[in-house]
Amino acid sequence: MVETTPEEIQNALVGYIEENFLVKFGADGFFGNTNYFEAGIVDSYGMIELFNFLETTWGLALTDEDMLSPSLSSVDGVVALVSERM
Amino acid sequence: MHEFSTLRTLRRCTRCVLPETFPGISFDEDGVCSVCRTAGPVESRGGSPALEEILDQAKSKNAPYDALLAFSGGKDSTFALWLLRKRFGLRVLAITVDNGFLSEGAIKNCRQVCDALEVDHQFFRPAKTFMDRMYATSLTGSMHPKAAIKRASAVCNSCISLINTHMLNTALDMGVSIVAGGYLAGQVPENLSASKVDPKVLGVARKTQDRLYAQALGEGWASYFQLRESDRTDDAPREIWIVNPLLVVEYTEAEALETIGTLGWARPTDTGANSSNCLLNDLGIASHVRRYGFHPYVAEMAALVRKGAITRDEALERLFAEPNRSEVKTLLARWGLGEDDL
Repeated sequence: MVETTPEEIQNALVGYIEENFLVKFGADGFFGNTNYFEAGIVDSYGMIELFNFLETTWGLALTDEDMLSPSLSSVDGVVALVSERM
Repeated sequence: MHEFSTLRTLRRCTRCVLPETFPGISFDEDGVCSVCRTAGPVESRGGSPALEEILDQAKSKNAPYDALLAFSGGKDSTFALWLLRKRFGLRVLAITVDNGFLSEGAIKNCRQVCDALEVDHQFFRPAKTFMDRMYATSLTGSMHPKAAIKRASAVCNSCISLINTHMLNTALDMGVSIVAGGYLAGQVPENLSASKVDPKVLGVARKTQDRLYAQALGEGWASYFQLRESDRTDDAPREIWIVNPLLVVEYTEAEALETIGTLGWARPTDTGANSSNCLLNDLGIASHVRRYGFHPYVAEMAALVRKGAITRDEALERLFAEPNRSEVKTLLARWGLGEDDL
């Protein structure tokens, strides 16, 4: 079942980032409004993996404009974007 | 610090070979790891056309080549080159980045294979002083994000990053729309079989890494690590397809070796059990195991086992092959380092 409430979306995304990028939410400089690219948590390979996760988990079709938008750079931003599009 | 001998005693997935020391791993009651349980069929990035369709579209573009291939002379990139040239019929420019530690056997393989496949070939050899500084800093510092340790050793991560930047910049300069590699699952994201990227988008994720490289490596870093067009201000798209055919093509390693053998490829004898081109490999392995307690190639080996390309026993044999300690010490001494510096 696809997670659709903001809390479910956040839990799924945070779980994915914690497992794949070896950081703990609420610690390690990783919070809801943290730009995980600028914080060095997610590199360019990680970006490709992360965007694939977003597209396959929630059926999004991300455009280049989306990918350049700050919305995809933080947990809070992704939760808002996914909630809006679901 | 971890001794290499401890690798043999680690608890490992009963299906692949990932060990208990691999970051984020867990095992179920049957001893199957969390990666095996969640692994699914590999697909290109959501919404992308199949690999063949992408490559067919690239052929029609008015560019000097259909694709550039990062060609190390090793078995994987050699098989990738054969696939692109013979199975997909592409006009390929093979580019070898000579890091200063390529085996003579690998260099010979580069020439032999490119002659056999009738492809154009370029060597790019970055300045020795910079490469020495890059490798020494990679071994003693923290130049990469945490998760990079799952993919490769520190020296390999730096080298791969340099190679990838060179390939992308060359593609942008030449107007070629496909950059290909012989990377395997575990080395790169599994959905990187065919993924379209805009340098401006990649630049978003590379900014922090660029700062790290600038601080760590100093003068000259931008020549090798800065992605052109990542900070352009116009909106005109510059899209490049990153393609790794080995992620989706069905094959066994035995079949691949037989195929490239027909091109005159021969395994070098001086690169260790886990490489067929680079003399730094044993050093990368030794340093990684010492620091993190797992083999830098274990994710790659695990992925090959899951794919059926090699057996679990074959994977373990390679993972347990001890690095040549004498050669490791000689390399470290080159940069004024000892094993205790790792």
